Amino acid sequence: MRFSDLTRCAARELFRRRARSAALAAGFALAAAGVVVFSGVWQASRQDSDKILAGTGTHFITFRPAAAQDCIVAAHCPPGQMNCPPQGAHPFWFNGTPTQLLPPDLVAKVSTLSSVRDVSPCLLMRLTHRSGNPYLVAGLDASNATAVRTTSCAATDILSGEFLKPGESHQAVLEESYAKSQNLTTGSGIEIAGQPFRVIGVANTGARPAKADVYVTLQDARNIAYAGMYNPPADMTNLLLVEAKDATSHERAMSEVKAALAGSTITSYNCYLPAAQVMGINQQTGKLLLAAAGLAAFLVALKSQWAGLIERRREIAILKVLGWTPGMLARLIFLEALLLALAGSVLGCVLGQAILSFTPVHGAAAGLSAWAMAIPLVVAGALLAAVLPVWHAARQWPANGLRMQ
Amino acid sequence: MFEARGISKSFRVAGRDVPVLKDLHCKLPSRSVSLITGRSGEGKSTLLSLLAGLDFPDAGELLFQGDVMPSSAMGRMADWRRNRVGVLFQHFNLLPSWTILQNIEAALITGGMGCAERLLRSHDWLKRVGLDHRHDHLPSQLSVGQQQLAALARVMAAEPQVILADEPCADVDPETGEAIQRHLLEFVRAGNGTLVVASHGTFPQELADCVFQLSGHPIDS
Ligand SMILES: Nc1ncnc2c1ncn2[C@@H]1O[C@H](COP(=O)(O)OP(=O)(O)OP(=O)(O)O)[C@@H](O)[C@H]1O
Ligand SMILES: [Mg+2]
Repeated sequence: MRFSDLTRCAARELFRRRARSAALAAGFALAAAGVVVFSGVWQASRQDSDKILAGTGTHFITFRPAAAQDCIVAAHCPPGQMNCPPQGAHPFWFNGTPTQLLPPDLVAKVSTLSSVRDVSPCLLMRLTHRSGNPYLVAGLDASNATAVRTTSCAATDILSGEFLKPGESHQAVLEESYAKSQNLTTGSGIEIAGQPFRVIGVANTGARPAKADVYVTLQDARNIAYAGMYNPPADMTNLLLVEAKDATSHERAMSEVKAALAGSTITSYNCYLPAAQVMGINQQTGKLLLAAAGLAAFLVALKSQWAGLIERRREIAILKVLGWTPGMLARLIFLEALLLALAGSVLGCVLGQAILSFTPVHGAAAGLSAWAMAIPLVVAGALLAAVLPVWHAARQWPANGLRMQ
Repeated sequence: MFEARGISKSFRVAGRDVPVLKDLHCKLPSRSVSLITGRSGEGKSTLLSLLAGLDFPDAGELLFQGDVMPSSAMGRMADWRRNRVGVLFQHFNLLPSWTILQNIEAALITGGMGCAERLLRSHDWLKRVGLDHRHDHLPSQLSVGQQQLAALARVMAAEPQVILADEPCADVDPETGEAIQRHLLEFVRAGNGTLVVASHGTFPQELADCVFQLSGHPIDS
């Protein structure tokens, strides 16, 4: 039998039973619209939760702790001139712990990891004020907009004045609390390790992990550290500020960075884990809901196609008498299901898109990917639902159907 | 020719078996008119549907031109029947939602015949039975006799080797009945076809080359 004849028969049959065809197509359309709307809302909520997670837990800091008595400076002292600072005056400091300097090639190594979006070196030092009080100085890459912003200080934290500019030197941004305690404001002059600096801004960084009292450019910080050393190492860094690719790669990023730096310690926000887990649960629920929608569509299609087949039993029997083989009848029924499912699902996608554009869910919009999911899902459901009726129709002796008047 | 060897058929109704055909033996020759007669309910239609492969016998064998028919294999019987057997039913069995033209096309479509040829042949047969002006009508929009003629056109247009006709003249006026007989006889005489008619008296016995009387197991006497 020619395909064109088969298609004509299928289309004619669908047109003859307009009401049933419309009902079935509407069912397929609803299923497809459901998938599109659901995927739009789901994606929006995923983007939102990703955003929240990105704001809380997709960044971390890695460093290598040192014993307090280890003298880092000693390694860079001329032989026989060990001039270590007294215990407690160890300059490289983080989180209340002395730290070692990190290998200079580590930044390049970490930045190639697929789980890492951004990495920035930082030099965090604990210096002693003339008054004898310790204070923290952070040297930041002022040109970095990602990792530095989420872990330390950024232009958005500035309360007055401005943020550090790459290339400029001897400028400092003060943490608000430090500025207040020292009675300093924008424009004040300060001295850091004997070098003069001008305060260009005051910032409040909230609860960032690499928080300091004074922020200067990385180069300035290194120059301050070099001053106390003989033959200082290049690119001194004691902290790596890392931004993971996204919330779901956070854990992998941490373990990969840790593997890259033996003996390192990672500091991260604690909330990332449950949040990421909740997101995982949401995704599971989403998949489950999608599967349930697919199953419902399948069952509706199965019921409808089965009812249609019972209604057409006599007709199918007559076609068999007229020489239609079970294969031809199967092709006819599958083609009918395919045509209805295609028409219904495309209609449903348009409908779903329209619903999404009116939905109050912020940012909910489904793209072609939702269509690419909905149409094959509905078509597959419809064809699958036709398998049983087709199988049943093929197995019936014509005489059984002909008895039904 | 058709040959039945020890055919039995019963139907299970309301939990018990209703025997219709019991150990039936008969031979119906090729290229001739065979008439199966018998009282109502004796199983004439049942026998025709077994010969056409629309149903399977409980026991016995059916042979067509010396070969045993695969009577219990539905799919193989469908292949055997295709392009070979035309059935004219007692209740016409026209496709109720197809026009009569489409009904005829439905029998021609399976062989892959082109659309133009199909239409030509369908219209030709509708003209021959005097229904061409009603070609776009549904069976329910025709009289019972006209439905019989449409069913005849559908069978004839497919040009089968064998026609199994169940009461072909029962529901028509004598003149139309004669026209139907003429077409069927022409199918045998001019077309070298084989015709098996089941009738309880509306088809003249003298037109038949061979008469087979179904009797002995009337279930309602
Ligand atoms: N599918 C079926 N289920 C139950 N009983 C059936 C079935 N088909 C046929 N019968 C029974 O078989 C018997 C023979 O039926 P059949 O139609 O073959 O008779 P017939 O000789 O053609 O009668 P008529 O001359 O009235 O057409 C009837 O009693 C009928 O009730
Ligand atoms: Mg009968």
